[in-house]
Amino acid sequence: MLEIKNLKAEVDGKEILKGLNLRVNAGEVHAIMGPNGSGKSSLSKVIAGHPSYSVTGGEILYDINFQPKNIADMDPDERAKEGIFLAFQYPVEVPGVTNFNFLMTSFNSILEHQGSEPLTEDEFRKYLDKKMDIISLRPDFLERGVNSGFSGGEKKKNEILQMAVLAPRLSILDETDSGLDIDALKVVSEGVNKIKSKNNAIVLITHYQRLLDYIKPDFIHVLYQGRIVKTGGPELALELEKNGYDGFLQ
Amino acid sequence: MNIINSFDSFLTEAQKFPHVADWTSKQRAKEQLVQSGLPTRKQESWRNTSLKFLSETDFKPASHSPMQLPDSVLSLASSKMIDGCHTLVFLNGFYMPGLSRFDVNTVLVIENTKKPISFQGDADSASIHHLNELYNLNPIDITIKADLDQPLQILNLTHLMGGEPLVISPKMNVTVKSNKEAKIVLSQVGEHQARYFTNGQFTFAVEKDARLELVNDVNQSTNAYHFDFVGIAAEASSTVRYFELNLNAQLTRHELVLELNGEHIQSEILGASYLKYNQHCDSQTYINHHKGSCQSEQVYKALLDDEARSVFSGTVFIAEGIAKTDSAQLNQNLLLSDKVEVNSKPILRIYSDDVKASHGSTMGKMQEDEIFYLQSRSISRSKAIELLGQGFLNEIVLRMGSDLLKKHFSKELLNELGTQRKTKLKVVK
Repeated sequence: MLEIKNLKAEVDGKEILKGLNLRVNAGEVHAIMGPNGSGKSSLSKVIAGHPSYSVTGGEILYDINFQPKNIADMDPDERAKEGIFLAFQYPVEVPGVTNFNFLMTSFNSILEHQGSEPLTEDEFRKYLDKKMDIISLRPDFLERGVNSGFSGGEKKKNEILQMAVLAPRLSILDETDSGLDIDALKVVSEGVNKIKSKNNAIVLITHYQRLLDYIKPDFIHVLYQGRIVKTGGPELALELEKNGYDGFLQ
Repeated sequence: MNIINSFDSFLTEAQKFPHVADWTSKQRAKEQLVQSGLPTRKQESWRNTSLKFLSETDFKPASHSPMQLPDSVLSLASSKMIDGCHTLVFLNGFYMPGLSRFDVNTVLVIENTKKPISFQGDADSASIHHLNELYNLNPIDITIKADLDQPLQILNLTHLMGGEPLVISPKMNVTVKSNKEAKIVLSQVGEHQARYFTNGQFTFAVEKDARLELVNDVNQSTNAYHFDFVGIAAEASSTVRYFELNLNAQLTRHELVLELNGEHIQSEILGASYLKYNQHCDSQTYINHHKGSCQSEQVYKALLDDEARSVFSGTVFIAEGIAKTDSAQLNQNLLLSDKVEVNSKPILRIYSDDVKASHGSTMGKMQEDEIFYLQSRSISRSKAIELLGQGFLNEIVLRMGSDLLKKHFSKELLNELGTQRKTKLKVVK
């Protein structure tokens, strides 16, 4: 589904990704771990198409209509319409735009891209009701501004709800566990596990082993200085937890 | 000075209806106008707004409408009525009882009132008020006798009916009786693309313990010039919430005066403007705290595109020897083009010590991170800018107390942004 080959990317003239390789297939869960400043969040933004980053080398091949296509030059919304989803580490607040309107606009953009008729307000409300069961949010949530005045936990839950509504093929969760208490972490993880299927893939970006107790990864990658320096199974996370990045990288 | 000289021919025509106006005060207004002339940009409160258009177009004073209204007028009126509201319809400044629908048990309408109310507004704008005095022929007095179960829409329509450019001079005074509640929408709308000049005077008396929520919705023709004076006199323990929405007009000038005449008054003065092309909107506010323990909060937001210009000047006066005043003022501007112009000026005249008074002004472009967030949710860049712009202004609309009005104006805002921005989307880099 996703194959990144020798990817190089920079922001403000500084090279952040220095020849990164990664392959993700449908049905797999990957975790990308690494110390601060290693390029984890940058990788997620480059895949999603953040305009501040420029790809200076390599390819991001992503299956579109069963054919791998280099998406490096596609607009972020075009990538999203093809099923790439980024759950933000710091979700943006958009006061004045209600969650309902935001979700419906977003969902209908995908339908239109697929050549389907957009849903009416009533139809979308029915569809949304089912998805709301995946994650518990305050009842007045839909009429409030997007992430406006939300706690850290609510913002992360909102990201998972958006993921459930948009049903992406590839989800990248950028430090979704940061700032969550144990209860919220459990709710968010359960949400992700419900969305997970053999047809979609999930890439978790995290500092800690804790998240991986709830969402079981198939592969763990260690990102260091803009490259993946080691790939292994779930046991790699335990090793990192025990020895720290310093111990591991020496 | 065409607009002043038109008075003599207007006098001959309008005196056919001698009962409707106070001709002595009109003559006096004309003398004062001739003596002082219209404001120029040398006067402080007119520094950023030019009245050149008055000498470029020959605006004729509006007179009574024909008995049989053309279909185009009727369809404009019905398209602008808000479902679920009581509606009082005015055409070119004249009351149209046949088109109005309201409950006579709650609203009392008296035509040709001469009730005087005085406000401490902008001295430099006196001649604009004289101009209204000169040409208004149908002053109206409205009394809210009982709580309104639905909002009251005062629909000020302008339609040229195939004629020349007009100057429209509505004048009305609304009283919200003690302990009563009213939500009122002043809809200032007109014939598509018509050129006219509306110069309205709207005064409100909010009696003790009464609650007024007023929406001043300016959605005129894009070739219209819109001036209004809104004066609100609030008495003790009353609540005043004022919403100013600027969606369309070539040039807009508001003068808002709020007199806080008693203690324990809660007031919010809010504005949301979407300005594009070379539209110009100038909002002058005067919040006068005459008694202590009152609260006033002002938030004015403007979204500017193309070569639009916005002026905000907010004066807060706090009288000597009054205690526990809480006043806040904020002017926020979001710029979508590098050719827009914003003039923002707070004026705080504080003569008392026991005061909380804050003010702030911001100007900035849309954040790329915000646009990216929406794009990452499949929303195109143009739609993202539209939604973020709507969100910025909609924060004001969402503060309305009526769900019906909230829904109506949120939709109006989004429609306006959607239709205007379809072909020309950009963000300042």
